[in-house]
Amino acid sequence: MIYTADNHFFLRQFFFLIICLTCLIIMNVSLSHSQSLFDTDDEDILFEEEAAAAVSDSEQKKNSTFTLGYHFSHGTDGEPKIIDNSFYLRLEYESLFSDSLFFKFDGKGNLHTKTDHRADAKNKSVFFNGSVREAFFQAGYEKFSLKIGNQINIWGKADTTTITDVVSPRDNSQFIFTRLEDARLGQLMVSSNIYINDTTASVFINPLPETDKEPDTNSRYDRPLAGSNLFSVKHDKPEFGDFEYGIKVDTSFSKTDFSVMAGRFYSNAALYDHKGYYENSKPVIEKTYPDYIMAGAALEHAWQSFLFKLELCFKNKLPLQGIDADNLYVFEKKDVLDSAFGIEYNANNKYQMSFELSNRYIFSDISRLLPGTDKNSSSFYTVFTKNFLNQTLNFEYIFYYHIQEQNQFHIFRLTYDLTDNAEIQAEYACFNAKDESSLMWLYRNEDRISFEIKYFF
Amino acid sequence: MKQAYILFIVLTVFISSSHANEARDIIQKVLDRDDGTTEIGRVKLSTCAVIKKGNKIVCKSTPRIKIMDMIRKDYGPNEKDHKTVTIIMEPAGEKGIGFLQYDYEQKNKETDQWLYLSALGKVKRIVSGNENEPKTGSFFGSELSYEDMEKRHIDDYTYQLLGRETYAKRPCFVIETVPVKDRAAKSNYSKSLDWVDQERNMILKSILFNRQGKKYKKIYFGKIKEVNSILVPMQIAVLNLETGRRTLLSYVNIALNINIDDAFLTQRTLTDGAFRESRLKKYQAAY
Repeated sequence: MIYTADNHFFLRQFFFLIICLTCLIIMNVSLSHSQSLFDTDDEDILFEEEAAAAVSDSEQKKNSTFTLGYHFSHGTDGEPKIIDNSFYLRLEYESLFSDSLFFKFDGKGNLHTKTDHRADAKNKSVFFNGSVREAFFQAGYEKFSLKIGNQINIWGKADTTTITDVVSPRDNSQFIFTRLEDARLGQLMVSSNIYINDTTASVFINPLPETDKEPDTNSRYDRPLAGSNLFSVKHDKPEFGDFEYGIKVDTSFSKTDFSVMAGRFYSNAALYDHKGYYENSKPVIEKTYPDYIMAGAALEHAWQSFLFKLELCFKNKLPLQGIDADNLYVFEKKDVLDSAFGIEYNANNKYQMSFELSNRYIFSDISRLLPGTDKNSSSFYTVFTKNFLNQTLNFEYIFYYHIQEQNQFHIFRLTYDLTDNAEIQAEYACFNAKDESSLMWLYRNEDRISFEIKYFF
Repeated sequence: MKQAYILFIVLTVFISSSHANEARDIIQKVLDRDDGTTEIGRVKLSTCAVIKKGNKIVCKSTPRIKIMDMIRKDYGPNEKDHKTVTIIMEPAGEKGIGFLQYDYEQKNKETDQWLYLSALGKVKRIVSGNENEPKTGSFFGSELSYEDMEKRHIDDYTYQLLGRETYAKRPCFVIETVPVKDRAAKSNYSKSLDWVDQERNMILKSILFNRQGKKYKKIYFGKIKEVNSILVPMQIAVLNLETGRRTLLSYVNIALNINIDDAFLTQRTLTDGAFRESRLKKYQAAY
């Protein structure tokens, strides 16, 4: 048998599935079925055990939740083998201070041990970092609410691609492996909602826009810019007073939820721009986040077991990465139409599937854009989920495919609730990159297995 | 002889038909019994695989427990449309997950549902499946299925009064309920036997049979208490005879017929913490 990369790829998937199925079978066998257990009608016996517990459970609502977690991941291709080896503690706190004033905090501290790629990148035996996802005050009135502080603002209906959801930046420091609860970054802003029947109008203003978090220099997922040794980079981040602002209106009628939105934003992703000057005979490239405006609409419609989703967004003068005649980075502003169409299917709670097809269309000439940029860039995303053992075990399979680049990745994930307060998760992710000019090509050897345990208290 | 035989058949049909009408009237009274126009409650769901120890039924391992705040308000001319908000309080890992559900009396009008996950940061419409097929899956991982939680449409079933019995020291009617053809196609059950309290028009016990006709579940409604002049079973025990698992649904707190603002039964409650918590505080003062 000729042993190719593709054989290797599918063999690994096959073995992972076998492991998953074995686990499921073992867990199912441990259940004992009995018809004779419940031959009593005696109410005192049927309700006995829980009666006392029910009384003692009339406890007050807890304001805070802590999550203590450990995360380990192991690369199956690249070196070094150990990628993540870290502990974290997360605090979520919320409290109503008066009849109309509410406070919410969501923050996290991470401790990366020596073998973790983030500690290794800083050459430290232990590396500690922290982040505040949200910390805001909210005043709520009859038909109006006002929120001030560090907050996350999510727009749109699409789950997997960024169409209209451009307000809150993303944490890309772990490439595609950032946990869902860490995926978005809070930023200081003032936002307000006005409620009229089934319609909500939301506005926000952000005086200091944050940008996507990139991998730390020399960390596992850091990929230096091509040719970075040939130029110097100067950072040009948005400053206080570089306002982002936007408005969104959400409404529901019958089986349909509909949103329209518009705003002015600074690019969350960095663009590199050579403005024509040099230092020490090296060209200086500015790492910058230019502004643009957008207008979009999103729709969800339920029909029997299906949920249809449609999202469109026109971005005017969106900055895209280009190169000039000297092969130096510049950004080009282009009009762009981003769109997504998705379907979710619920097989009567036996399993659930979702499909999402998204596309970016660039209106004008693309010849000055980075080589490999297509006029249409389309991707397909599907998720399959199934619950077992009274919803304590969850299996999830994610498949991504970029149509023009023919790149793909697969993620298999098993999550099991050990107890009400403890959860374990095992995951296997593998890449199959074909396009050498694509970003995913740089990560083609980042297949990994990972393990996480969380304790909530 | 032939005449006697015909008379016997006519009498049998007449008696069974009159039993059927009586049974239907009894169930109609059960369905019409006042359960309050609004309800706010803290509900505890405890589920485990059980074993018998002496004459006791005990959990084999630590039970899985969910505690949630549920707020319901009835709408429509018959108060048979419901809007419900459910917010999970425990376990800690699921705290803050919110559901909004609109159920309609009108046949074939599908339920509207929205879910809020704080990790996702947005409200998402969800679909529960095809109304024309039996639904699998359980209510928050318990032994209660979504079908067990649905309110019955009287015309979806035929009823037969099988007799009268004393159950839980109460005089009861024993009624057999069989889904009609259309309903049978989308039900997990082929029939049920219900023990209906003759004086209080409440079901005290149900035995549910699966689609193959085998006993599948027993549901007991116990610890009946008067709340705001309405009788409420404060505990419901669901015993799954196939898996040997039991769920106990207990009301930790409950108040009925308090004034709940229509705006609370909207998506705003899922995302607006200040609004949700201040209203909940006001409503929960009624406990």
